[in-house]
Amino acid sequence: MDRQLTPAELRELLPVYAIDAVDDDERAAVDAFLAQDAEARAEVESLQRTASYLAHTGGPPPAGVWERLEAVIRDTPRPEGTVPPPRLVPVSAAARPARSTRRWQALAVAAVVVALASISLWALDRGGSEQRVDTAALAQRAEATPGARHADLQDTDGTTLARAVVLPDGTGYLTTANLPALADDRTYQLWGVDDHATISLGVMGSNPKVVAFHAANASQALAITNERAGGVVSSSEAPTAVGELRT
Amino acid sequence: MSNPYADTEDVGLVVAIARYKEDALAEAYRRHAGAVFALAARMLWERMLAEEVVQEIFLRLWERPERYDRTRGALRSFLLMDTHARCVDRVRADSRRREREERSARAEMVAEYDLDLEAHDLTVAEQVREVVNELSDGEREAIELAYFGGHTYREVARILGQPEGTVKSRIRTGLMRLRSQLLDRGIDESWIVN
Repeated sequence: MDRQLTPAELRELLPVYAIDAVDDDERAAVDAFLAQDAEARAEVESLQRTASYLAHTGGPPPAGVWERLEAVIRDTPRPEGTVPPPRLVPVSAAARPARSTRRWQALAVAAVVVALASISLWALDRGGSEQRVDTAALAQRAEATPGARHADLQDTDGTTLARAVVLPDGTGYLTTANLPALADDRTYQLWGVDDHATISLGVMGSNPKVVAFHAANASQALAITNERAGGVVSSSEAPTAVGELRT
Repeated sequence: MSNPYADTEDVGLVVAIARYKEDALAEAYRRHAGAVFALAARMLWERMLAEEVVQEIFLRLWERPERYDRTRGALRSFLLMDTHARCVDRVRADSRRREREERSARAEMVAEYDLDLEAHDLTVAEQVREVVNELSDGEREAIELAYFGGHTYREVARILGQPEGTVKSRIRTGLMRLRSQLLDRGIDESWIVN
């Protein structure tokens, strides 16, 4: 390619780019164009999904491959401990309707309710020492409640950075210890993890002490991540601390 | 023994895979490895190479589950896009195979799609085949050579002896028509979300 392509020419290339049918130099030019043009990116993604229908066949998996794959993943190093740190994956509340969306809708609703609860309780924390003592007292009382589940949230070195207690009705309290304060443009975010989902339990601010939250009973573990201020719908950050909920 | 994730939606499988649940990967493999294999086999023409790609694609899902973003489409579409890109790399890295494939390309263009056992997949595949058959011969031929043959549009132009602009334009109009006709038939991502 001896000259720069115009935006109109680049747009014309999008369908062939979407099926990997461009030369390397054109690919680089389209990549650069896509980096700046959200509409073009959306068009490429749409065309790629369309093209994938061409290959949308089913069929039995090839024999013997799973066994080889299984052997490889068994050799893959993974974090030690009974609950592996969750590798958080994108889970958007604004997902398209699917055949069976009820559970996700319920989770999304729960996440909104929890986020609201967390925000108001976080406000309590920041409201003054007297109110903070109240939350701390509730957390202390919860520790001794029959049926409560507990979690020590630890970093990868095994240092406990926070302790959580979750009552049978899902009310939970997180008390930090050794959790370093973050810069003002960052926040800690708390996540509940079960076999099917990782959902936000609330944004905790840059220097949380005692935080109340609500966790679904299905939650098997809690995780804390370090995010940009305001928090995120889904996280790709490695957890700062993680802990299994035990009775 | 039944898989505990048999009733879990694809997106739930990916979350569980992110927590190193091998059963979740096994279920994702059971659902989608056949489609991944069919595409790889059609593009690479060698069973062993296609099996390698299947292993590679699911190993990547295991190692980097966060690459999948459910808001951008179904898991199968994501895996097939990954598979296609991987196969294109292999096809272009192996000129010997490409030459052989070019010789066989015309015969392949009229080949049937690999319809399969599962009723749902069969239904979608049938609908897609009907829509593809509604494309013009020129559009279908250009798209299939580029998509399944792993050729650039310039190579397709050489193979077909047509101007590059014509091939580029046929791929564009064909893909857009395919998209619009699939939507007209009510086929969208919800059809392929488990």
